[in-house]
Amino acid sequence: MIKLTNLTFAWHQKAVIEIETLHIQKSQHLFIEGPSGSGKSTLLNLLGGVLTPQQGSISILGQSLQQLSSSQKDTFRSNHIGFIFQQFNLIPYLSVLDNITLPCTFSALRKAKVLKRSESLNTEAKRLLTALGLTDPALLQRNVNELSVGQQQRVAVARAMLGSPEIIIADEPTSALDANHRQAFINILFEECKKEDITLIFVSHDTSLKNHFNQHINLPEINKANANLVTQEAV
Amino acid sequence: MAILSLAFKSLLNRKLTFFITLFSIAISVTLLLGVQTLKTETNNSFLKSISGTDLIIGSRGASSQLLLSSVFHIGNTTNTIKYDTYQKISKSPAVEWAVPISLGDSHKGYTVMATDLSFYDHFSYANKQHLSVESGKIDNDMFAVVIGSEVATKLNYKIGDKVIVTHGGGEIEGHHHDNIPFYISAILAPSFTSIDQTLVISLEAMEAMHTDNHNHFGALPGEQVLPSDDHQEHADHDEHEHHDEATHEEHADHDEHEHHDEAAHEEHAEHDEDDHHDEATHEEHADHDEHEHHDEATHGEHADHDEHEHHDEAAHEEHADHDEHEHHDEAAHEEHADHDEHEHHDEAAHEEHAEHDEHEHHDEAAHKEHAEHDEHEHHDEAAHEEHAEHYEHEHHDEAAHKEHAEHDAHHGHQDTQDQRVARLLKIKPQNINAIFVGLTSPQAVLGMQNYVNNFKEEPLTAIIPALALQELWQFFSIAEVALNIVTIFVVLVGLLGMLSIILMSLNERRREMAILRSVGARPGHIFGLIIGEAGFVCFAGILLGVALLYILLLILQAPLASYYGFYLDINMLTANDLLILAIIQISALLIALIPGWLIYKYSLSDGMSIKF
Repeated sequence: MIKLTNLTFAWHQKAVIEIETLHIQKSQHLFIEGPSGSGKSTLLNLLGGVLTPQQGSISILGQSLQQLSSSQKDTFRSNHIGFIFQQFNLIPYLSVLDNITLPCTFSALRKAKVLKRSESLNTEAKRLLTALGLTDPALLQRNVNELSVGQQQRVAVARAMLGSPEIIIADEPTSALDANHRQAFINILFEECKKEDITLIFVSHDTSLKNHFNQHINLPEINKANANLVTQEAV
Repeated sequence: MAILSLAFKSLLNRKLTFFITLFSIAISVTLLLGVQTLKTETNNSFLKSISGTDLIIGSRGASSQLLLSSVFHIGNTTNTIKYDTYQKISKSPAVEWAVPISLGDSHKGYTVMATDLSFYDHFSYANKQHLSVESGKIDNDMFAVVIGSEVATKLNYKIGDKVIVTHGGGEIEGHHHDNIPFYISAILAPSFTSIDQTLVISLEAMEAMHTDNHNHFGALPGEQVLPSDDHQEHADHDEHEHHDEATHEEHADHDEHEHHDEAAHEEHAEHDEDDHHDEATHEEHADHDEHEHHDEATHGEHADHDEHEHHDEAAHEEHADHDEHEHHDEAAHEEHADHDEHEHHDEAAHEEHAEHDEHEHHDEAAHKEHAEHDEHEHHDEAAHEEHAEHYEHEHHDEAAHKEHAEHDAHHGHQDTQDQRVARLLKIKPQNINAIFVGLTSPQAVLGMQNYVNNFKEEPLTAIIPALALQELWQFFSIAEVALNIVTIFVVLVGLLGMLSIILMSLNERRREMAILRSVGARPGHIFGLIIGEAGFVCFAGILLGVALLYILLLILQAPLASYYGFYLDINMLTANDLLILAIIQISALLIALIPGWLIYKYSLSDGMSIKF
């Protein structure tokens, strides 16, 4: 479903990503292990179509990204991929509901999917929040900055899942959470992804989490550029 | 559209910076439009200062000076031109009307302008509007003054108040013509021209103030000038009495009295002309004349060394010689009666006199005095008789004075000695500063201008007001340009403030941009977000600025009109204003290209990576 072939991306003449091949199957929960500096955010940007590789190809859902214009890539991203970041996932000036429904602003496809399931975007957002354990209606009235980090991350999950994109990419989504919340968060994330049959790519340096996933990759192992970096540092 | 709604929500989230930017733009817009409005309104009120006048004629000199001094009462008055010139020009066939204008005096900083009544008929401003009277009535009296609305409100004057005119334009300097107080006969409605700050008097009065070369009139021969004007006449006659007693042997004195009498005659004549003076005054003046004649006659008799028994006849003869306008009977007191009632007289004139006299009190006294006088005439010596004569004379004048005072109470004004003398002298204007001319046809303007510019008897300049106003306005256009530049910079500063605020917010917003990118926003969306925000701020600033402008105009309209005589007409925004606003709006969007371009670059390089 996601296929990377001979992927090379260099930043200022310096190779950051060199991956020969990477295949991610549908409905897979993939854990990518990578310490900071291993090129994981570059990889995520490449997957999202925000960055364009100098060489190699990325194919997502059978669509080769290099065949798309940059704005088509933006649309493709919003149609098929939901992102969850480490923290501060939310737009501070938007309400909780507006934050959740934000992808529908840019993706007509996801909006259509939502409206097929629920009568309105907000109804669907509330349904997702309830499914994610945020049942307090008072939450909706609050400024997003007043939510706890755990609540913010669950709102981010709701946003990523709205309109059922095929893929969710989570970049260190639990690093700002304490152990209890981390476990609860991962459980909910897994549960919802299973329910919606979503392929989950979870990137983290926290190896203690990899046991939850049925597949895991150590990024420095597959990224040759990273190995080069290490060698250079050694020299 | 979704991006605009995001931009709007983003702005509302940062209320403080949003409102600061909004206000800085609003204030600059208010200032810019305010300056535009003031400029337009000043220009309008400037060009509206005079209308319907085809030519302004003054002595040869700069046309702007003539315009400024005659229409705006600004700057030095031009040299004078002869009143005869005015009369000649007004008789010119092309001239429909001509109004003489004389300037140079002031009252508490306000211009005093002398003209004649035709001024009110012909002077017009704005859309050929004539001056209108708010209260009182324009009085054709030599010492009546018509004041402009601002003069009335600022100095808190009302009809009947006394006004002293100062020579020269200054508020403190200059000679006070306090020997010639004016009474306010009318207050003009506001015209928002320089007339609002002007006091209008008669040309004759202006001349009167100046003919004495700024010395008080009071220096009639043989008299001592007294500072008080209230009972000067009375005192005056005391002086006469004293004088007569002491020095009646001096022949020179007699001459002086004759002179005085002539003056009295003139005064009398003047009162004849003056339709505001009633019969009573007239008669009182006649009385006065008569007594002075009598007095004079007595002196004359004395000088002639006539017998006392023949005094009446002699007196009569004297009167006949001197009086230009009355019939005289044998006795001086009969003549007096004649003045009073213009009745037939016989030898028993005293009684008839009593019967017919309107001024009973006075005349009774006079009669007694006359009787006494007669007795004395028959029995006493010359000196004694004269003494009695003067005694009577004094009483009579006192009474006359009272009557006079009563008459003048109509105006709440009492002529001072100088004013009476001025009336007596039948002063005619000699010089004026300018002539406002209306022509029979507009085609005649150039010909007439040419005629005036080549006037033989004295060097003159004729200007066409509308043209001269435009020319003069050109002079202000430098200031206008300077003002425009300043306001443009103010707007620029407002916009730069907006720019710096957006730029400063960019770094902290890169995370926001990354999130938006992750959910599918294109770099173009991010760019649009910034441009949209700037557009919103500027648009709101413009709306607020326009609202502030109108609020300001509404607040300032009344005080500007009442304190500065400047009428601010509140109009809709002109096409020019709208163009300016559009330029501001477009400038804001152009300026926002800078942060827009930066954020576009950031969003390309940052992608979804949250680096801040």
